[in-house]
Amino acid sequence: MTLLDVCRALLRDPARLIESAEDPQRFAEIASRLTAAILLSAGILGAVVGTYRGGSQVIFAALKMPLLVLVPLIVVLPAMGPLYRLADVPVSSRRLAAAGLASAARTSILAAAAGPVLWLLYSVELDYHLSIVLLAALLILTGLPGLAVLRLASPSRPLGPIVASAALMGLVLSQTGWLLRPFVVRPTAEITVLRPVEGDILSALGTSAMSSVGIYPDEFKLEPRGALGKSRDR
Amino acid sequence: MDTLAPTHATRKPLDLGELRSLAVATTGFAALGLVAGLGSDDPASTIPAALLVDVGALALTAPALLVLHQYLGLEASPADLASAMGTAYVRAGNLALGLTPFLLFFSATSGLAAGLFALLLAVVGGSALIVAAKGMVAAHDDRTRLGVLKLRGLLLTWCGLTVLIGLRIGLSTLGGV
Repeated sequence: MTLLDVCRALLRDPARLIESAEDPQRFAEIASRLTAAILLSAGILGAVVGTYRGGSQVIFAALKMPLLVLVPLIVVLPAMGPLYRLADVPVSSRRLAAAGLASAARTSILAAAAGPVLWLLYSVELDYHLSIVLLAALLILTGLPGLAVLRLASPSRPLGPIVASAALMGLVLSQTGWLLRPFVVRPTAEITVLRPVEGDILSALGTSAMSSVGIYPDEFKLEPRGALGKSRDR
Repeated sequence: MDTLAPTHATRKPLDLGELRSLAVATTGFAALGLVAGLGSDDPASTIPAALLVDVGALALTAPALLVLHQYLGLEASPADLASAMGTAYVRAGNLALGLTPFLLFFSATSGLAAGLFALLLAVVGGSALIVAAKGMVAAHDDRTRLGVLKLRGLLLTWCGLTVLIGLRIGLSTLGGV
């Protein structure tokens, strides 16, 4: 089964692909192809995002984007099996891993397919904030068909474990994105691979939400230890 | 129901598979506590936190449940109830083990670990209660109105008591996280 065969099956009939991954020999083949599809397509999307700033940011973003897709999967996959078993739904670990990889790969491929549109918009010197909103919208839009594949982890498709898994993945995805930033760099800003670790996604969202309504903290900076930093110091 | 009749639960020696499941579940609770304390001055001090809160609450209230169950003359045997609790313990422990990488990720990269740990303890403890309650309901064949009412009342009381005791232990324990 070539990479193209797996990608075609993933887009047209993901249920059949995941079912066939229950066979141990097919699983290894399918898992490796899906991982390759994620690395390639997320890399392409990253390169497109990097073009907003240009230069070495194209390479940096292309290297970081696959991590943004794969890290949440690696972190959340161990919790998914117990979540299904809590709901009395038997699920094989191979099928679960295949569904997780297929979900991430489908999102990446669809996002990469939308890359030319994103590049076109970025090429007309779009506002920085609007460019970030566009990227987020693209990821949400392509993430939904990806999440739909996660439902195929079990033939009975129970809602509880799927919602819980998606919530965990959303949290880890947000924090991973925060850690691996910047993806979109202001045209005037200095290019850097990673920014120093400061705070967390919740403290960043809190600061942004307050400043968007015109309320600025005394010292306009993120709480260095994160949203719960102060309470932990007590 | 003849209270002197032998219970219908099958008695069998604990096999290695069950012991292994219990050991894995206990490891899960300990691991979740350990990663919650990552980066604190004394990370080892949080290892028993999850065990104390979730398992402690179950262990402290289980005898009361067994006693009241027999007192109310409900049908299932104590062994069936213990089996339901064992299943709940194993599933909750497995969930705790599965959530360990998730908490480790946030412990290592953010200051959210303490809040998330408390939330995960509530989720893991709540799921243990639900699994145990479902197992206990399944162990009862008595579908009379009074029997169902008694069982529901007993389970609701037990769940409420377990939550309150879990919260009380949590307040004492999580101050150190």
